[in-house]
Amino acid sequence: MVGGMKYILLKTFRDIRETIGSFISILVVIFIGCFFFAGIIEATSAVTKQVDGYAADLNTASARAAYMYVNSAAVDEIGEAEGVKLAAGYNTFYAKLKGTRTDVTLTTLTPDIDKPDVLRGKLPERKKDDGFIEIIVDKVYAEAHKIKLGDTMELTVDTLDRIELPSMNMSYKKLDYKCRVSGIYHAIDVLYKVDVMNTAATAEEFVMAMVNVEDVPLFTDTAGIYSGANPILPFSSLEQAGITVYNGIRTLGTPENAKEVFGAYTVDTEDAEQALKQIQDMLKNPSAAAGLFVNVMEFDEYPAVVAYDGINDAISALAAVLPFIFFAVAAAITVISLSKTVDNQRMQIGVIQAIGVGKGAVYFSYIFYALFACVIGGLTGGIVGTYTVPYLLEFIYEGQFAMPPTPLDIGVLYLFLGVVVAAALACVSAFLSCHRTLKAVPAQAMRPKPPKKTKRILAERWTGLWKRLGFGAKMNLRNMFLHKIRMLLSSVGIVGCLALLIGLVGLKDNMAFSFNHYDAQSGYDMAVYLLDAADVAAEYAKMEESGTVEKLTFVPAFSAKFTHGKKSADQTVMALPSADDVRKYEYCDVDCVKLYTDMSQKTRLKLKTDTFAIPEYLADKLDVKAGDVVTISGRALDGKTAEFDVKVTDIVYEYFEQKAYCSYGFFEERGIALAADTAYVNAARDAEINAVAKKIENAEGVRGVQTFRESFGILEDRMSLLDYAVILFVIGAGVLAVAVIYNITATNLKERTREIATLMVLGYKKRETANMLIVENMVITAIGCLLGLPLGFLLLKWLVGVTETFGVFISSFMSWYTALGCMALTFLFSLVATMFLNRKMKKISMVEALKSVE
Amino acid sequence: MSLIEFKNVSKIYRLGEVEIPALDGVDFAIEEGEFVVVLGASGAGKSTILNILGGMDTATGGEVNVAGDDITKYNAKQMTLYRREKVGFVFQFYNLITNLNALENVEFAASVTQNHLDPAKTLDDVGLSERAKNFPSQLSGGEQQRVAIARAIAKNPLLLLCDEPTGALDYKTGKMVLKLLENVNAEYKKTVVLITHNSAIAPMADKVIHVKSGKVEAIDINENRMSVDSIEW
Repeated sequence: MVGGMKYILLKTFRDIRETIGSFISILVVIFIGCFFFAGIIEATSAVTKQVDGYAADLNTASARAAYMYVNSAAVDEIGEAEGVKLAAGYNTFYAKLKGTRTDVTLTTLTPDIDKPDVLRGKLPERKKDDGFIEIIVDKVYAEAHKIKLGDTMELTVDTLDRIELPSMNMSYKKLDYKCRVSGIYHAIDVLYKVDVMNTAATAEEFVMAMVNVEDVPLFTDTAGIYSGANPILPFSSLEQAGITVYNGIRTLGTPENAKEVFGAYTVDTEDAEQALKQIQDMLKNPSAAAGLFVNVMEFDEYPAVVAYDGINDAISALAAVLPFIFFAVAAAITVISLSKTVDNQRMQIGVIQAIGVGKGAVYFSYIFYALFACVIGGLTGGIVGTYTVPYLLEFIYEGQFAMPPTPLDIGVLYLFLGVVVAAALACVSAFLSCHRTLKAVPAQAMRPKPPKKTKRILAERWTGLWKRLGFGAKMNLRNMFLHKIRMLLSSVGIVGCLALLIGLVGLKDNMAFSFNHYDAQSGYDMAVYLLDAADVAAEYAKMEESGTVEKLTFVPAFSAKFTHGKKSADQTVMALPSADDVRKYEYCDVDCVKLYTDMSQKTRLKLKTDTFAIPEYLADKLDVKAGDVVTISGRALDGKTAEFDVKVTDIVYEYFEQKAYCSYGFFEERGIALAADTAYVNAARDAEINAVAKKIENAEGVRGVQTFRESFGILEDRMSLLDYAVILFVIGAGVLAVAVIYNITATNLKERTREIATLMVLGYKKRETANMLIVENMVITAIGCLLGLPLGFLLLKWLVGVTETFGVFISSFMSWYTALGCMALTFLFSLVATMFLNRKMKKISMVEALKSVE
Repeated sequence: MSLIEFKNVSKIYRLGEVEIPALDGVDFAIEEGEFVVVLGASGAGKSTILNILGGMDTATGGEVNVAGDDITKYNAKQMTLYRREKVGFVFQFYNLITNLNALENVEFAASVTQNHLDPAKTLDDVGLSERAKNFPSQLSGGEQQRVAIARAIAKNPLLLLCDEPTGALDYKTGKMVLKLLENVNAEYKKTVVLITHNSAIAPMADKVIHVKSGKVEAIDINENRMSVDSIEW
């Protein structure tokens, strides 16, 4: 090492010792920034790698195509398509576990693709003589129901009976199978342990199972494609010709234009004549590749993967944005404290240069100071984050998802990336801090810096006000406005702190508000899901007093596309009973879902025949206000097209479940079938809700029942993920505010030691002097709060947007008590930091402070 | 009884295990209204005397009686009150509050004292009423020192303590400042204690206390005080 550099380094280390408080505060802020940056990004990336690696190990299909039917010749052809390494036909069935409310997705094994990860037991063997079919069931269900190897279960499987032309309607026959559990496996498709938003199916009511393809036939003996009463393509004829029929194809490797490749095997269902002709061609040459294509999903489109990636991406987005608040604050306090250190050492810098040391070495000294803080803070924060957050996130995910049981593959890329980002900012900050002083020639630097010219500030123009101010206030105001940039930089920490607090606490607040809103809005005890869509009018007509059920409301609904101008969105349209409807169908309840046109739920929307209300988020998305006309197109539950233009009469506030609402009368007027597969039920006042649910569940035609409390609880559990983030970031925000205010005050104190000593000599009491510092910090905090409020609100809006990735729609307002509470907390943090320095101020020696030359 | 009495006053600074005696058995007395110069070379202990007398530092031993009270017995609160009401300081480097203008500096000092003088008049007395609205950075060294003197006088203190008040000034400005202090002593009847290493200033004092190596070497009484106008250095 060059001799001079040794001493420059020595000087730098002594500078660090002398300004240890400031140094530590920079280090701490960078620690937190890198902790979040490296920790969360590494965690989400490790979890994604974990899932992808797991999927690769199991040869998870790159694409899965669904057909009404497809023959083995088509499977073979697809297997030879470019980009496809392997293709296999398989069958998927919808089944029900007899005697329970459990839905079963039963698929057949394809040994080389979608290889099941058997955790216990073994893969199913061919059907035994005892009539039992061996199946494997997924671990989530097995754990929830304490399923053991060898347990038996009876499945009622929907087996394909007919495909009708030209409607393409499919009908099924229910066939019963006795099964024995040969193994428990981890199903990669079971991502969520719970599924609350759509159907009655939860982890406890839904099971993935796999069987041998030979054991459960895809279709009945009489199955085939029908035109009228006669089959034009009986599947048995294909079987006899040695052609196997499936309803799905799995591939390893995906052809480039997947939809076209898989979709080549279909008939034109739009044109009945054309369809018939194509089917006749198939009959002429039954061994040719043929099928009726439905859709194809590539790996990254699987619902589980999409949901998982969405959540992971949302968390990554948090990690990518929030740490930069910390990095920005670290840069600001680096500039503040290093500028002061450089100012204090101005003369030394002149001397060092006069001795013949180059400017580069001096730059090095200060850049090293900042870099040292960055490297120590960044590396430790990064290491702690990298090796704790992924496990913490995995632990949290485990509560929510059926995580595959493989170890996390943690890398160090983001650890170093975080340090590099922080270091780059620190270098720039350090350079800017000493650049001005180093521009001076040594002789100039060795002379004391001319005092900064004090100017009149704006407040002095209001002479009346100015005269009323005490000298402490005058000094504070001038001091702050004399160092405007420093004041703004100082407030950066407060801005960051308050923005974080408002963003996270506000999100939690909105979540709580939305939960209460949802609770108050829902007037039913349980949702009943039906196996088939019921004709509402007929059902009401049939209904008799049961004694247990007080009210039952069918909710006809259909999925529709909403179009307004060039904007469009998908949304469910649901019909609820209006007061007029209740007069007609006396069983239904006008209060089963209460709609409000204001956020505070004071103005209840009373449905009329022409009412068409859409949720606030949809109105925003489509840029629609009450009175605008939107175009609706969809298919009602009876299969008929529903297309109409409608005037949006109201905008309603509702969270978690978003729908467009109208009355039964609205459906009837437009000829939309009043058909429903869901009903909302209220138990009798003294009846036990769960007992009623159980009773209804066993009724004929009922697919499942879920009480409102159940789904509410599941939703709350799922949202509990947020609590961890709030706690982490509130701690982060607190440390940020304390570190920054400590740094500023320490710098301020050092700079004003002489002034404070003079005040003390003049007889100013310590409390009065301390108050001056407190007031100044409070003013800086107040300015920071003013800037932080809008930023916090923006952050809150952004975070609410992120939660939409979770399929959750919540309110996004900033309540005055959140704002006040967060500001109070910020002021408290600021006060705590000021108090830390109070002792330092009390130690100022008048004699020593006044001895030094100005 | 004299206004100020130093009785066997000692001051020892402790730096780790090392003890550095700054004052060792200092005895002297100052009468009310006197102009006293404490004279000594650098490191002799004169600033320590002034710091103890001004309530900015405490003695290790001995008694310091000011108007009958032993200020060495004061606690921190009493010491603050003492500095507030009894002492006016003038420093070598002025130590004005940079963010307050000339008049505000004087008003500020007056505001902490109960029995203060009119700040504007005091500033006028030092000839700076025209520069009242100027901030320290807009004033010359001499002007800043005159504001510092006005600030000290405005408190209407019992003692005016001046620590090398001309140390940072040129000859002409220094003389002007000394003249001002002489006038303050004469017109306001204030007891002035001025410390300096410049022995040429000694003839303007009623009493000269010579300090050397932390001890009082001699005390001279000037029967015929000279006006600062006739002093040259």
